[in-house]
Amino acid sequence: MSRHLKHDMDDAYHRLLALSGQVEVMISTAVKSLVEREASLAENVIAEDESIDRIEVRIEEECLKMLALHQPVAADLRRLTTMMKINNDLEQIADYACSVASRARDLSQHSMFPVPDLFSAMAQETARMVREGLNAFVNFDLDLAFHVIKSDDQVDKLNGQVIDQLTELIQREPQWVEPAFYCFSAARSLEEIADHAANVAEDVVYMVDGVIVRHRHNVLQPEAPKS
Amino acid sequence: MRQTITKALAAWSVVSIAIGVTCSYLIQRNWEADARASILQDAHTAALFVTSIPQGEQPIEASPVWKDLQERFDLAVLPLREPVARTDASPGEVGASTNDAASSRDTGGSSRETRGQLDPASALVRSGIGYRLSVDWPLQPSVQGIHALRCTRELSSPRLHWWWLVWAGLNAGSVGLAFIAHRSLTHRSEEEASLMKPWIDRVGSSAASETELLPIPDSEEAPLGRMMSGVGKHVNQTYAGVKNANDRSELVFRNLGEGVLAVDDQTHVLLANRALRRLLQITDAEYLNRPLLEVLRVPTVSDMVQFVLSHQEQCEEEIESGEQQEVFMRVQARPLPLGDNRVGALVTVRDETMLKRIERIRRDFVSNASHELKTPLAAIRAYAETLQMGAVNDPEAANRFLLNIISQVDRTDTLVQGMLQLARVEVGKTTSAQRFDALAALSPCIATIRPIASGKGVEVVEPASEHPLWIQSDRDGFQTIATNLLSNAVRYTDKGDTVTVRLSQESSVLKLEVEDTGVGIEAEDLERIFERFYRAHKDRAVETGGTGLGLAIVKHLAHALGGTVQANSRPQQGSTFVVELPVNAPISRARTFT
Repeated sequence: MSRHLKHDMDDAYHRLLALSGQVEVMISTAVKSLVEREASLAENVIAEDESIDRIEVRIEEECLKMLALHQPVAADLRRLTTMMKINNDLEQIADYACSVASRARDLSQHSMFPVPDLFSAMAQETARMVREGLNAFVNFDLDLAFHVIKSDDQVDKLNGQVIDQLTELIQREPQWVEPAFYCFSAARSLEEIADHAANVAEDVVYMVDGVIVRHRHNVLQPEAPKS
Repeated sequence: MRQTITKALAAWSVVSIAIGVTCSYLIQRNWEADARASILQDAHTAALFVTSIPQGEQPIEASPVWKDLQERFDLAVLPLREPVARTDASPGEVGASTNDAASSRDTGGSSRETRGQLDPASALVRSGIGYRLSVDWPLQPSVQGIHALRCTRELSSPRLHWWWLVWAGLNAGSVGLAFIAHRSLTHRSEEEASLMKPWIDRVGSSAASETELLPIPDSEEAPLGRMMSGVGKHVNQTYAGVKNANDRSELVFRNLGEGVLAVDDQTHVLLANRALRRLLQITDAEYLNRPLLEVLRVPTVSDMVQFVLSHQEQCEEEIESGEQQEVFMRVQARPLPLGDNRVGALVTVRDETMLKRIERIRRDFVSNASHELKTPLAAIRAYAETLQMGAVNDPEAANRFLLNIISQVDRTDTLVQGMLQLARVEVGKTTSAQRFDALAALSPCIATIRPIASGKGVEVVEPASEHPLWIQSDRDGFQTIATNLLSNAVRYTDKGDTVTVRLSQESSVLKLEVEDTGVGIEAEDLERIFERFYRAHKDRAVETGGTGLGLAIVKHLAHALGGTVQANSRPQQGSTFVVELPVNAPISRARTFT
């Protein structure tokens, strides 16, 4: 790697890490605003979306410039394209976090609505997936990446259970239809965040191993490293 | 000293070689010049000095005798050839043989030439200087006693040989002395090296020791060994001192409750103690010397570090971390001098979660207390003022008012006790696990409520279980839960109603059910009955001394013991409260609930 490419790549890399920190905080704040019905926290999350979008565009522009100027190959190319994909995934995760915050804002008017307990568990698992996916990216950790990919099933299962709980609640107490719907929408957004976290982990596998594992539903363990 | 001598001798060798070469050259030149001059001046010798070049010979210098002969006899300068066989003439009789040869020649000219070779020895005798030369002379009968010498080779002197010998001898002597001195020195070094070798091998092959850096050499006989021993002891003492200081610092650092993070001017992590790694969830084992953003992705901390590095000023922020942001931290960052005009950043993180919780509890307590106590205090004041205004003169009214005042005071006391208990539960000070029989612990609670129930005509049905139901949990907490549930059940039932208590164990969960056939709870109240001070049937609660805190206490206690509480009710038919507690309670802090 030439000195200039290394310098530019490190710069973009650190911007990406800063962005990821912001997005992680957005997720936890959005969930907190929903569980505790704090509309002000939700407003803070929604207000941050614009800056996330700007940063995402900036990082993408820098990556494209590097591709044009330096024409990296092999491992450098994989790392650069992975950074671009993760940048994109983070922006979409931020959008979904804003969706959760919007639902939280709506739900704040129904302070008595009993949010299902499993919603918190689902949120914790989703946040953990995002955090570990990014840790795998930073540390080139294949095992952790595969662990995150497998965790997506767990979140999908929790999502199903939350929907079941909400359905049962609506049937039992129809006056909660509207807030239950908001809660259902928020759960769906969390499930999408988890999917994107799994995408990040798949990108890490590509970056480290050069193997695209997307759409393989039976990924259980890392493949033997290429010689 | 020896090295100085060796160097001096080596320098002398170089100088003497230069002197020798220069002197040889000068001597050679001078002697040659002298030899030439001597030959040229010799009246009996016709000499012609020539050079020998590839194209032939070139004359350089001729003696006056040669010139004279050449004029008179037209001497030819012939190229040198291999000399013919010598004549029978003995050395020293050259003149005679010359003449004999000359007599056989034609007098007409030089058509026939005889060549011979002058014995260098006679030439030596004649001139007193050693020559090496070949001689070629034309023979003329009339020229007697004249030897024509054509010297084509460089002259050298035997004295030069002596000079060379002396010079070579001096040089050989110098080199010899230098060699001896060097050998002596290296022999000493080799000796000491062989003594030190076992020690060097030990140092090289041994792993780093915890107690000393350098093992002391075994050989203290050699001076080098003694010096190494002294150095080794000093190094080990210094190392031990530094290590102790380091261990102390490390111990303090590791056990600090506050998190400490230091980064350099390029935001590379210099150190991060255990408390910081726990608070900010740094799980990565390889965090040292990595950029901060790779280790920790908390935007506030990164921004604070950047602020300190760019403005060289300190700053402070509060952050929330942990899942669902339950951990409150105060973060301070300040400049950290690194030397060489470089400045990094030092970040300290203090966990203020407990502080925040206590602050919130205190705030809630104060606001609740002021709110809830206002009512009875207002009532007490009203009664007291009425008494003061004259009611005291009416014994019946006075008595009634005083009874009400006492009742309000009792209520206030109950309220305060309940609030204090709730505050204690919220802070988490109730936890202690012990093994006890839940059935046995329940009995006194039922015994306490039974008289009140009987007085109202309410039947209390005890649990049917015969054998003990063991549980590892907080006994007092369990009894408080049971008492509060029973108290509520009796409060909201009337004559003829029943309060049934069931205690059972399913897998690893202990289940306490308190069911009554009383007034029940409306649906809109059901969700709120666990809130502090919330009373579904306010009038009845006030009458019977209810504070609205009982179920809040039950809920907090149940959660603190790792369990759950649920309420079901049908208005006018009764209510059922079910508390499930794990048989082996993971005692944890109570979480705050609104």
